[in-house]
Amino acid sequence: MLSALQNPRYAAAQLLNFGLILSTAFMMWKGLSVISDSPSPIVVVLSGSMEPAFQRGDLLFLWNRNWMEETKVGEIVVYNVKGKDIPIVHRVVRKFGIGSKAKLLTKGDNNLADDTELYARGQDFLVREDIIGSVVAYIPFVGYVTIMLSEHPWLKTVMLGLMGLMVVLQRE
Amino acid sequence: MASQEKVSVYNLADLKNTTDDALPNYLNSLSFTQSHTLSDMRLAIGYTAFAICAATFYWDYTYGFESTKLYTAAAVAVYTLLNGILTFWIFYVEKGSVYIGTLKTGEKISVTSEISKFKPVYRLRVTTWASKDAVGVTRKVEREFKDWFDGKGQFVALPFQQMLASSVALIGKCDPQRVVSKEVEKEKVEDNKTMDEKWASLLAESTGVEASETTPVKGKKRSKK
Repeated sequence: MLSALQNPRYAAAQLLNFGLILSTAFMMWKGLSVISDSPSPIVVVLSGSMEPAFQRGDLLFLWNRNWMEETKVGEIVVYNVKGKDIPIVHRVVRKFGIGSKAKLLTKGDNNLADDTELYARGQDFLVREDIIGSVVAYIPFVGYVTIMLSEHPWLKTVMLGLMGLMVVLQRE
Repeated sequence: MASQEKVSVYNLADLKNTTDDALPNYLNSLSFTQSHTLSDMRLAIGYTAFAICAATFYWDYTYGFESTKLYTAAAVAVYTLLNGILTFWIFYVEKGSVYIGTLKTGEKISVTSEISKFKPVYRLRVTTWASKDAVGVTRKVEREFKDWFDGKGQFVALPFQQMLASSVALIGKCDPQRVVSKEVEKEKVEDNKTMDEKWASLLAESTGVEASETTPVKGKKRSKK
């Protein structure tokens, strides 16, 4: 166990085990990003604005390539508003024009009004490149862990610390 | 040192790791020079992969996803390849290698170890080369861990070293003091048997009746009733 740390090669190997677990997780995430062409291919629903389709904590899988057809009305998309970091999951309800310049309007199924209020100042519509992906699959509720973690940040520290300790002390 | 540490005797992985750690210590204490090429190669591959991941993280964090997409795709491909090589290296090149070392006289030794999941048996494959160009001779040694762990899980060096010295000729040559010849072991076993017999006869003498005679007497009594 701890004695392994006295030999530099063992220490390096233990550290590598830990590093490879982290880096493999990161690279799998990036691989998924590259395949789906989306900077964030998996997102967690944070609000109830798309109920009853999605609840808080649902895990969504995104696809950001227009292979067969363009993004169309009725599709549920995730977009980023300029200047805001939180991605929003809403449905496309209006579309004017075609191609990358098409003007898109979105609205949450559970909201009374469309999203013009949510957009950045002076922005009345979205274009294709604002969108980071269309929802193609979802798993209910499993994302709730991340909501817990972001609402109670100290849980993150505790979890990371425990994981690190386990990997360093275990050897198999 | 690992040898001073207690392990759970029910934890096979601990038993194996402690023994794996003790083996290089012993062989290095003889005149072997250990070669670290295999493990260094593994570390090099692993840390290269990790460095690529760290670089990807850096450019993704500072320049965003869109502008670095192509680099990220390339990095993911290279990382996957390196990880594949690493897996191949561990399973097909290292194959559980514990020690590779040479003597100044040119002899070479390579030791790999493995265990099966629920059997407390340490399985060694020892290959020795008499000189640089000689063909290697492989010997398999299988011993139970109880031979060199006591009941409390303490590693006992002497029997382990004797086991190695007496089952591998090259090690025995370097450490003749620890060679236990098989004849001595056999004699010990024979001695044990005679001791049992002696004990039995002693018992018989003290009770006055031999064990084999008592049972038929009881049987006769029952049959009469």
